Formats: sequence, structure tokens, C-alpha cells
Amino acid sequence: MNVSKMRMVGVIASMAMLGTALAGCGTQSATTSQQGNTTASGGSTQPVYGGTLTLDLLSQFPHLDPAKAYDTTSEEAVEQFYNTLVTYQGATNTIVPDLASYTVSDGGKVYTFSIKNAKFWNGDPVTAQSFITEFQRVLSNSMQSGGQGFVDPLIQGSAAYVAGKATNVSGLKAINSSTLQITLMHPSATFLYVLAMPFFSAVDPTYIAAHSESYIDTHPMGTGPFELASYTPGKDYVLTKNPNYFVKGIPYLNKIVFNINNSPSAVLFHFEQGQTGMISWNQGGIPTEDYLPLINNPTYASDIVKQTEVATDYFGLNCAVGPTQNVAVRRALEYAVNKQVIVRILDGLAVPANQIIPPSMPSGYEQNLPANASYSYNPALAKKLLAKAGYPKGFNTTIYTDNSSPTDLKMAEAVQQMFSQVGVNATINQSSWNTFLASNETGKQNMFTLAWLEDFPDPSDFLNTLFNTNQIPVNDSTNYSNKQVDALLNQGSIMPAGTARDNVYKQAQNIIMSQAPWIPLVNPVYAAAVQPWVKGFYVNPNLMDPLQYIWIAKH
Amino acid sequence: MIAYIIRRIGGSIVVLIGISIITFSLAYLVPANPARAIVGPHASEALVLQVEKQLGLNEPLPVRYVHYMGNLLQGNLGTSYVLDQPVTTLISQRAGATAQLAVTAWIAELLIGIPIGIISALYDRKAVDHVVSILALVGISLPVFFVGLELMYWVGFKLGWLPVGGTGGFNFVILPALTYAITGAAYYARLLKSSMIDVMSSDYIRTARAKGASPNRVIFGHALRNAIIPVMTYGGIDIASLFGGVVVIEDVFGYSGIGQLTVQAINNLDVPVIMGTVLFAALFVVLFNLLVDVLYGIVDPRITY
Repeated sequence: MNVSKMRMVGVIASMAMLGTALAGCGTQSATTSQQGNTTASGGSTQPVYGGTLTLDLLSQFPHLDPAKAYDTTSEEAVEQFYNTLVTYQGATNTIVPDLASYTVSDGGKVYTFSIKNAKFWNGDPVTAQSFITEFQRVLSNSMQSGGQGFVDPLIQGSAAYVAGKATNVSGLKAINSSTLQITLMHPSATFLYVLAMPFFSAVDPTYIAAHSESYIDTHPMGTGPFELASYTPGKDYVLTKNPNYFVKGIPYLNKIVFNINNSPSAVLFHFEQGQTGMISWNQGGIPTEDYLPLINNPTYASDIVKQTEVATDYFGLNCAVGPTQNVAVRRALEYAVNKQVIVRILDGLAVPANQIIPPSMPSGYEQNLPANASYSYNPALAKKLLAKAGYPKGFNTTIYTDNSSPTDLKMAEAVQQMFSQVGVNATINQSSWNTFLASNETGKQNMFTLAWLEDFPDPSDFLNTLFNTNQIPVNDSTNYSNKQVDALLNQGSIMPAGTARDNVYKQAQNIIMSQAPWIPLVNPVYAAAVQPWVKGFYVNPNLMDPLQYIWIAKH
Repeated sequence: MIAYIIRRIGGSIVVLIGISIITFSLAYLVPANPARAIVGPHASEALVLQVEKQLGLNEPLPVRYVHYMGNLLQGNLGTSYVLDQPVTTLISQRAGATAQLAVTAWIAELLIGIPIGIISALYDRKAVDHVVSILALVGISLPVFFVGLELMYWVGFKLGWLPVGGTGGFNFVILPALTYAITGAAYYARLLKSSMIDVMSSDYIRTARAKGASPNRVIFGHALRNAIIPVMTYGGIDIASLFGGVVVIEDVFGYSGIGQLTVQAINNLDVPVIMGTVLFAALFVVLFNLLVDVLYGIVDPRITY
């Protein structure tokens, strides 16, 4: 999981520690719908305009400035207020125009965007400069934007700008007020996905110039479907419909009220009372304490929407520290873990993972893993391999985990128990998320639990970020290094999308899996509870929640 | 009295400085890097170093502390690493809600605890006293979160009389305050009972009775005034801790106050906010202790400074 996203989810989860289950019993299962105008819980009727949707929000939005939004709650708030050049279509991974249509040059290096006729809430028009300003803000060191690394050094001239050697980014050009041209250093199969991230939203240059960073971070001025009407610190955010939204016919709702309320018990009761339209509008998922009472209650079971996330929870094995330096030991440990047990302890909110790339990733997932990259639960074989590797009596080690999410400790304890069955005695070192992360990024943890959630639907976001030698030790904290893999990953980063590129990533993943720096544990499942009268909700695999498509049916 | 107050203020400042040193050291000695957490995984090492520099994290701990105290003396508690807002703003945004909850909870405690304590003392070792004592024991023993959840479920959810959680008008304060009162009133009741029994056996109470004072006059005019002293002592500490943030209650009810802000800051290792909220709480403890000591002299003229 992207660490910033993981951080916020962790905070939310830890806020939920004191909840308790106070409701019914039964069973359920449900799936999300795929289009905006169908419903999560069945039925498809004509959308109704008007009404107010009330939602509980587990914590305030850390940021409303798109350049700063790199945690799950901020990202999703920014999406209500701002628009990007391109976006995802419905519940798919397909990129479609948002504020601009586009063409790509033959060489794949020059992108030309034709900007639609749209206005900011204050009436200022959206122009090419609206995007150039935002790119420059993201690239500016003083902004401390998490988006910088996605476009630098990819966009021509970005490196010089970041280093303070240029006042403009040469690869960003306003051909005229409605035409933006972006030139890359090399072709990139993922650039359009990057552009769909909230970092690269249209901002009003005049507004930006007139206000301080902190003001902009709490007073958005966007083109989005909803405007921020008021924010009462610690109490609520009130959003009202943008009557001049550039997409005709939406949004349907007149108003959205986010009540800040981090009590899982209160969140559950509010939903059951019908006061709120959903539990877990955002990427955090239903709080752990609320999930079992909901799925076990026949009244609400059919209101649960679930979708496997494009994410992998994994167990890291350090390739440079301790007995796991030995690839034979790492391979032995792969056989020691029963992933079905982990799914059970996560209340079924996960599916077993057998590789790094999640099955819901549109490319790079390997249906038929080669025998040397495939592991199934076999403790007897694990013991045999450990003995062969020189550890007939096993060894002592430490598992590092964090306390921000109850599930991380559960997984660590389960693996600890499974390892003990093959003679590996592990003690668990649990700390706060920040402490854990700082330690993890030194690359010195023997073993650890972590997760990675896609930034965009491309295997490079997992493989290049987590296994390229140049990512040691911050992201590649298992210290995995393989020249052949590096060559494949570097090659894939400049190849055009298609089967040949997919095969390069599959090849890289198979090599990595055969050397076992990770034990992929599970692919987590996102769950939301949606009232039957809330229509139009769907889950995009990239977890962009479409409040502009939601409408309220009579109830 | 004025000399005493000045002496106490001086001592309080020393206490607050001590607290600030301990909190600062504990928060920064944790091996974590807020700079990396702020900029995210895709940011360059150069950017991380720059943020560290901006936050002053590259300086030795004592230097950072001196800078912090320098800013503090100018009323600047720093800026939240996570929320990117001044800590003073974050605290002031929530202080009102916590104050409302704390004062309501405290008054509710007194309204429940004091009458029970008096009744219990007057009917010592009689049936009424046994019933009250058992109820008080139950009240003391119940965990706050359990009482809170039960009230939420029955009063808020099942009966729908009050909001089950969140922050808003006075309606949102009642259940959390009642939760604190139920679990806290028993202390007042027990304290007042034992104090009242002591006082009621005093010579001056016997004298008052002998002079024909009515029972109400004896209890409320003579006994209660002296018996209330230990209750006041506890009350001062109690309300100070309440102002510091009724952390568990705010968490159970999703009530957005100082306590919740502190919990979030600890989870995020948001050191400026941790420092700010801890100092805010400590300041209240110190101030209320001083206030209680001064009030002793007003309530009981025998106490002089």
C-alpha cells in the first residue's frame, strides 16, 4: 500500500479501537454495481434530483489542496472539489477525458490537451495555465507535494525547475488558452494514470496568487461538482451543488453533509437509524468493529458492497539481514504460511494472494505462475528446506509491525504462530505507524508486515517502486536487488502499453517470486454499507468515489 | 495570600517546564521521521531532507527545544505536521467543545454525587446506605467505555432520545457527560459520606443541635460546609483532568475535543500537536490546583496562608 494512504487508513483504524458489537446475526454477500446510474443494492430507476446526503466522516480532511492530497481521505475530498485533465470511466480502469480531450504524438512523448469550456466556482475560466500553475506547485520543493516524484524527472525540464535552475518547466506549454502541451523525457505507459491523480487538478492561478497556502488548503476553489459551503472545525463539512458544473446533468444531490465522527459505534447506530446514507464512503472501509454486526444482521446484510482492492498485504523477508539473507530460507518460509487462516482472521475481508500483483490489476497478473515461483502451504516441506539450508532447529527472529491497524497485528501473530510450527521462533515488535515506518525504511527489519495499494492501475507501481535496486531501502525495504530484474523494470518503464510490456513485468515478477523477498499474504477487500435508498454508488478499482453520480430515492 | 499565589505560580512554571522537557524528549526520541511521512513514498530523498530542514529536524534535540520554547514564549505552539495548521488554532477550535463537555460532566457528577453522599451519611449503615453504597461501588467499577456504549445503545439508538455520537449542540453533550457523571459521581458520594460522618460527630455539631438548630440548618449550615473540603480538593483535580481531555469518552462518542485531537496526534506522531495538547492539559491541572487551594481559605476561614 502506498505509505501515505496506509498511514491515513491506519489512523482511522486506530480511532476505532473502542467500538463494540451490539447488533444482530445472519449471513450476507453482495457485489458492487458497475455503472453510476444503477444501484448497489438492486433496482435501476430514473435518477431524482435534490436532497441532502449525510455521511459520517472518521476524521477531518487533512488537506483540501490538491497539491497536498496524498492520503485517502484528502484525495477523495479533493475529487469532489476539483477536476483533472483525464479521469477513470465509471468503475473501470479506462482513462477518459475529464476537463480535456487529448492526443498523443507518434513517439509517445508529446501529449496535447484540448481544454473544455469550464469555469471555476468564482466564474474564472479554466485555461492551460490552470494546469501549468498546478504542475509547478506540485514540483515546487516548498510545496512538499507527494506528487512531485510522479512527474519529476518524467516531464521535460522538471529536474531543472526542481533544482531551481529554471523558472518554468520547459515541457509544459500553453499553446493557447485552451491548449496545453506536455512533453516527456521518454514515452510512458502510465502518464495518463498519473494525470488522473488529484495532484494534477485544475487550479485558478488568480486565486492561487491571491491567497496563502494554508488558506487554499482549507478554502478550495475548484471546478468540481460540489462547492464547500462551510466547515465547522471538529463538527462538519457542508458541500453544496455546483449549479454550473461543466458536466451537464450532474450532480443530483443538492447538499452533502459530512459529520466528523470517529466513533465506530456511533457510525453504526447512525446508519441503522437511517441518519446516514453510507458507512465508509471513503477508502478506509467499514470500521472493523462495525463489519461483523452489519454482515451478521439480515436487515443490513444486503446493503454491503464489497470489492477486492488492487492491493497486496505482504510479509517482507529481508534479503540482506539475518537468516533470510539465504534464499533457501526465504523459500522455506513461503511454504510455512497458510493464507486461508489469514483470510479467516480478517473476517473474510480478503482473498489469498499468491503473487505481488493483485488479480484485479488490469495487467501484469500471472495466471500460471511457474513452479519455482509458486508456493502452497506445506509445513513439512518448509522444515525440510530449512534443514537443508542449515537451520535444522529453526532460528530466532523478530517480526516488525505497527499498531495503527488491528489487522496488522492479527496477521503478524498468525504468521508468528505458523513459523513456530516449523521451528522459527519470532518475537513481535509492535510500534506506532511512524516509528515502524522509519525503522522499515532503514532496511534493517528482519521481517515485517506491510501492504501496498496501487497509485494507478499498472504493474510498474508495484514492481518498479518496490523491487528496483534504486528503491533500496525506503520502498524496497527487503533490500531485494537483482540486476536482471532491474533491467526488465527499467525496460518496462519506457515501453508502450501492450502485451510485450506486460510480459516484461510478468517475467520480472516471476524472478522476484522465485527468490521470495515477499510472502504475499492476501489481497484486502474494501467494504461499504449503502442504504437501499442511496442510488448510483459504485466502487472504482482506483477507489475514486463518485458522489456526483449519487441520488436519493424516495424512502 | 498574594505572596502565596506568587510562590505557587513560580512553582507551577517550573512544573510546566519540566513537563515540556519530558514530553519533548519522549516525542522526538522515538525513531520516526515525520518528514518522510509528510511527503510520501514517491518523494525524492532531497525533498525529505529539505522538509527535515524546514521542520528543524536536522538540529540537535536541545537546540530544537530551545527554539520550541522561544516560539512558545511568543504564543506560537508550532504547526501540525499532518493538518498543516497552527496548533493554537487546532486547540482553540476544540477547546470550546471540551470545555462544554467537561463543565457539564463535572456539574452532573456533583449533582449526582453530593446528594448521594449526604443521604448515605445521614442513613449510615441503614438499608438506604447499603443500597446507595452498592450503587456507588457499581458506578466506580464500571469501565467508562462500557457505560458510554450502553447509554449510546439504549438512550441514543433504541429510545432515540439523544444523539448517539458526534459533535453539535448541547444535545450532543448530554450522553458523554452523563457517562462521566455515572462513573465519577460515586467518588464524590463516598468522599462526602466519610467526611460528613466525621463532621457530624464533631463537638460543634452537637452544640448546634443542643442549641435547637433544625436538622436542615445543622446539615447544610454547619456540617456540609466543613465536610465539603475534601470534595473540593478532588473536584479541582477532577475538573482539571476533564479539561485536559476526556479522552476515552470523546473517543467512544466520536466527540471532537482536545482528547480526540491528542489521540490522533499521538497516532500520527504529530509532535507539535502532542506538545500543545499536553501542555494545555498540564496548564489546566496546575491552574485548578491553585484555584482550589485559594478557595480553601475562602470556604474555611481556619485555613490561612
